[in-house]
Amino acid sequence: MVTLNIIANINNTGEVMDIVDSELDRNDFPVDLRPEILIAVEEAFVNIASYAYKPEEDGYVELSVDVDEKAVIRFTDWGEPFNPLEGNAPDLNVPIMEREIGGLGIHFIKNLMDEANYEYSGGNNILTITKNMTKKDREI
Amino acid sequence: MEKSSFTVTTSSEAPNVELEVGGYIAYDTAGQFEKAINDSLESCPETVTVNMENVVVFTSVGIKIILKAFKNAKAKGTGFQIENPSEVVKNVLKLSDLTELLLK
Repeated sequence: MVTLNIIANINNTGEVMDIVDSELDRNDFPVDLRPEILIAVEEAFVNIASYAYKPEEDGYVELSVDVDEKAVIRFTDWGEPFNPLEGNAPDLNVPIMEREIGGLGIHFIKNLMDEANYEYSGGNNILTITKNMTKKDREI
Repeated sequence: MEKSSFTVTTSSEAPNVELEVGGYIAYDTAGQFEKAINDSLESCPETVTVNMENVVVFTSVGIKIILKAFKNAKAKGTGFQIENPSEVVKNVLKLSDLTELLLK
């Protein structure tokens, strides 16, 4: 398991993805499942970096990656209480030329991961996303 | 290839342009992807085809660029399509309800 604090800046997105990818690699997590995890990680981190803190604040995110039978990635921030999972799903029925682009990131997290949970506890926003390793686990 | 790198190869056979992209299409590499697409549209070809067979990661920022490119292409009278999507690209296009519109 790896845990570290990183500044909630959108320019750190690649570093966050590399840390998660390295931990998945170190634990031999199935290669075919890693892209979906990395997509969800980017979407989650970008969301926090964009909205958790005021622009003038140098807020931090604690990133925790625990890989065993599941890959469990937890993002903790100390910004205003905010549940990103409650956002409206994008309206995909709108004609393409009129379609707004926002909202896809959370839609991807919910659909590409097996679990996505948010809690606010002790002044912390905690977003946990989980991908199961095996097909059997994935069907439970 | 570095973990989060992006590759692009452009080939032109008038009146069409093909981009072969690979690696990560994510926040860090979005600028390179967008520039490659914009450059390909500049000469107003008949069709721009983006081969995405070797794309490993494709996040929502990639979808934004693709949608913008599709709209720009349409405004110029250029056809815009994706071919040979990797599994992850297929999944993301499906989740974005863009499969029918964009896949060759």
